[in-house]
Amino acid sequence: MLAAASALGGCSFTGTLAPRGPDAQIAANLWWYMFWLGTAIFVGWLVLFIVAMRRRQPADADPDAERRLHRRFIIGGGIVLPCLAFATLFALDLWGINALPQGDDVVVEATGYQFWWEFAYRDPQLVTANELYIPTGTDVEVRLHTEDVIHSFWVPQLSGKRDMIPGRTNTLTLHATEPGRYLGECTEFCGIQHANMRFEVVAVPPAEYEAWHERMARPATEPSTAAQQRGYEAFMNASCAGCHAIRGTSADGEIGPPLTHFASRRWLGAGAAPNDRGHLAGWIVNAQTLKPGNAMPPMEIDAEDLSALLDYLQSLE
Amino acid sequence: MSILDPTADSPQQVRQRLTETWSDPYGTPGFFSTVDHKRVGHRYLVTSFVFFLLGGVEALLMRTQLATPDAAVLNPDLYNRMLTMHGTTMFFLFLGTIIAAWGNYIIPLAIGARDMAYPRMNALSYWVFLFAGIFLYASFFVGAIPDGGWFAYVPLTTDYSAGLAMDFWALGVVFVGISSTVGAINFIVTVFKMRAPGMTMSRLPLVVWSTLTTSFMILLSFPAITLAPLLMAFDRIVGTHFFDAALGGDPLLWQHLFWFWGHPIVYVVFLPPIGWLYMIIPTFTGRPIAGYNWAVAATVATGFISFGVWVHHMFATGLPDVTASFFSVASLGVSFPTAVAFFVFTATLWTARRIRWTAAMLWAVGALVSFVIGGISGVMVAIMPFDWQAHDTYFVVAHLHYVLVAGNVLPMFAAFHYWLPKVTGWMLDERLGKTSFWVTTIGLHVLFFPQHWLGLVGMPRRVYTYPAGLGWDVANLASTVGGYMFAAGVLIAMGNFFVSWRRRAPAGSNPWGAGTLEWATTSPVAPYNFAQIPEVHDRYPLWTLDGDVVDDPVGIAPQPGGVVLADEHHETLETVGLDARLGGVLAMPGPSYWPFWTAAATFLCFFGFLIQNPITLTLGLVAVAATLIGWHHGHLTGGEH
Ligand code: HEM
Ligand SMILES: [Cu+2]
Repeated sequence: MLAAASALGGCSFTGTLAPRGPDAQIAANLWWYMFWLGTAIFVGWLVLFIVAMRRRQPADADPDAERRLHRRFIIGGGIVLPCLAFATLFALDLWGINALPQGDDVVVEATGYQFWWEFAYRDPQLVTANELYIPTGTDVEVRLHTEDVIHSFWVPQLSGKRDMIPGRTNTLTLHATEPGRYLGECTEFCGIQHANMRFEVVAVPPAEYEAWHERMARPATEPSTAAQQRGYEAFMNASCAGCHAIRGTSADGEIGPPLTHFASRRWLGAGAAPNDRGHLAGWIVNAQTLKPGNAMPPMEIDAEDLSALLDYLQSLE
Repeated sequence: MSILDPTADSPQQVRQRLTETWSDPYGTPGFFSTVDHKRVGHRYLVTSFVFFLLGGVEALLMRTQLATPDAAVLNPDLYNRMLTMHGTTMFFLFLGTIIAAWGNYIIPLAIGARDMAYPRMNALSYWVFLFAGIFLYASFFVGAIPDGGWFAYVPLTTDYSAGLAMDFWALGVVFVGISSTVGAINFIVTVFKMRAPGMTMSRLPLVVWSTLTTSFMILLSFPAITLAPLLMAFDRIVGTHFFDAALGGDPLLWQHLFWFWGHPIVYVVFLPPIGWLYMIIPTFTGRPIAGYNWAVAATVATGFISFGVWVHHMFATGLPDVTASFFSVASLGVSFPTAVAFFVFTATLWTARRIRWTAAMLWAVGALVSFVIGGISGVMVAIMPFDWQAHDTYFVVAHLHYVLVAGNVLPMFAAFHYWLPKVTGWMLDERLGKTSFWVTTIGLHVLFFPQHWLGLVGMPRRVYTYPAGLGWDVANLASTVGGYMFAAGVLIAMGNFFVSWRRRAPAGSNPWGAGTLEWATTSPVAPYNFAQIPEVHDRYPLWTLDGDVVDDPVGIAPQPGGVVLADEHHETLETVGLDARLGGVLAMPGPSYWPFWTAAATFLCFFGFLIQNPITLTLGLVAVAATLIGWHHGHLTGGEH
């Protein structure tokens, strides 16, 4: 399985420590405050503790004075110190919660499946998978649903995570300040392929986003060569169409990710492999090799049909 | 009250007769019928440690798979099963039972009793634990190892998990819970009724306070972990819909029930270990613990607060912010008693005249220092906006292992080096003890410290693999190396046990010059514990009394207030009130097979439920009823006084 590594652009690491949105920024700031506070407390206590271990109380020390000293230690360290830390942290907590973005300029319905993601947009309506386009500088409300078990939606560079729970709809606001590709992950253990349930958030400037949205809302490209035509027929005649939808054709399966503009996606199988011809061929012949335990069965398909099918799928820009 | 005439016999004769009165039958019959808290304690120790090793092997397999990106050591299915069994084993079969192990061995001795209040129930709780462990691990032999995670979130574990795997889990967990509950009741009654005369609540050794507190916590929290898996088993096996959102159930109900148990249990598994440290550190500093009342208050307060924080495991489930904030604040509140405990230790060391750096002391101090790191990261994840990032990442894996390993495993080794001479009668090798300490503790930090970083740079937990190129490779490799180092340290400690066993350097009754009552008896402890039940006047009786006198049934007649019980009767003293006034003499039940048979019959019930065979289930229920009747009957006529 290859990496979602190139998703990072020039960055050397992903995650909480490289925030690209206000929500993640708040968490990162909080982390650094707490890191320094925690380090100060740990080091301070440790020094005290080491001194305590090294020093030697004179044998004739006055027991009453000792008792007073003990009390001072315990009240100072056990009550006063945590009170101060507590007040600081509580303030940080409230500030953090209130500073989170809340808007819904764009709304996306995200649904978790074992083990991939569906993203539905409105005006115009469209359904896609495993890649979430959002406009930069905009509050995007993501409504979280699940088709099966509990999943959790997390884009560390943009925001904290939120669970997708049967029978409930949680929401989360994504806001990217910079264009880029950001790694998204499922963070609730959801079965055998929980590890390979990734997605990509692609943040682009609003104009580009509009263009993308408009393009994605169109039906799939018609086959234009003989090979693509043969691939198209193979798709419809093999069991593919039973599980996958391609808008503008009779394929309307709902078990697997929709493939209408599949060729425009960078990854295969929710981050299991890059979307190139070689991996795609391997995926179709036996998706269980790349991602053991996922719901797509191995396909019986002869070499020529496979090649034609690849031609067709790769034409679905 | 049968009081022996102290002048009639020689001490040797009295001891001889006491030994005869209190000994188990020889050989196999004794093995299955013993109710002696010390033998039960041995068994708990060994069994619980075996599960620690099993859980450890599972962990090492996982760490090996995660050492490098895209590795193929374990396939995803097997990885998830190891993940589930590692968590389940460590929590239910090790962490929770190692405290019962030392509790069983030490508590009666530390309060000057001859046994637990209900010795047969004590034996029952062990046998149930053993059978439950066997039940859970039987899943390996029928190829149905649980795979839904040790936290078993629904609906993954109900509608999306076929086969017996999660049935094993759900029923196994209910099964172990019986053992903990029975044990907890026993500890509570023991502490309230069996203390030596004069051992008021404010003279109670701190380990007894922490065990008492956790016993109450177990009684309050275990109903949740009994109810929830039972509902799960019903959803799975009988077809009810408690957790099914489509049919009016609620998947979050599972999480509430699970964490209502799951959070207090975290404190349940580290309060007694902190109690062990409360015993060990005064011994090697030669001074009473500073701020005893503070330590007691901190222990009890932790118990209370632990019931108000479970929702901090659920911040990402989308609860209303106000609800969640309440739990966030409550979680911060735990920092108070924890800080008090740490400054109690610091103050104790501060006024020490001389610290003796034995292996046990090293382990104890190492545990304290390491634990602080887990405490600090715990406060961090109580802050919601940060937790929304850290939750379910390796940051939390690091945090919880710091708390559990430094809060339970390192103290377990401290206790092992401290009390083993009492258990076996021989000393452990100090040099090997120190080597194992350094290897294990450095291993611990190499293993878990980098995981904080991994979580911060986005590595989710519970993943069987990860791609290269995300910047996670080096930290993962380091963590795996640390894992092997930790394991090497544990192996050295085990090696120490066997080497010292061969050497058998005699320990004597009080090798460390400790002040509490467990050191007043012979090592290993005679079957009757104390020939003469001592009267207690302060917190460290042996520092004010002459240690050996307590074991002497007649030699010091009359020891002030000491009571000598008739040696031909299976009896102990009962005390009443918080100030432990002499109440009366209790006839203690002797060896019995019934606890074993009751546990075996319970096994049959669970087995019948598991395989959905009504006949087996009914047979099991009848067997349980029969054994209980037999038990009761045996109690009335079983040759007791
Ligand atoms: C030859 C016929 C098929 C073709 C060409 C095909 C193609 C694909 C492709 C390209 C993907 C990756 C989609 C993405 O990464 O967004 C995929 C995933 C998937 N397919 Fe198919 N598919 C076929 C048959 C089926 C069938 C019959 C099923 C249902 C039984 C199915 C269920 C799935 C599922 C559940 C996934 C998502 C797996 C995951 O990432 O966890 N597919 N398929
Ligand atoms: Cu998932």
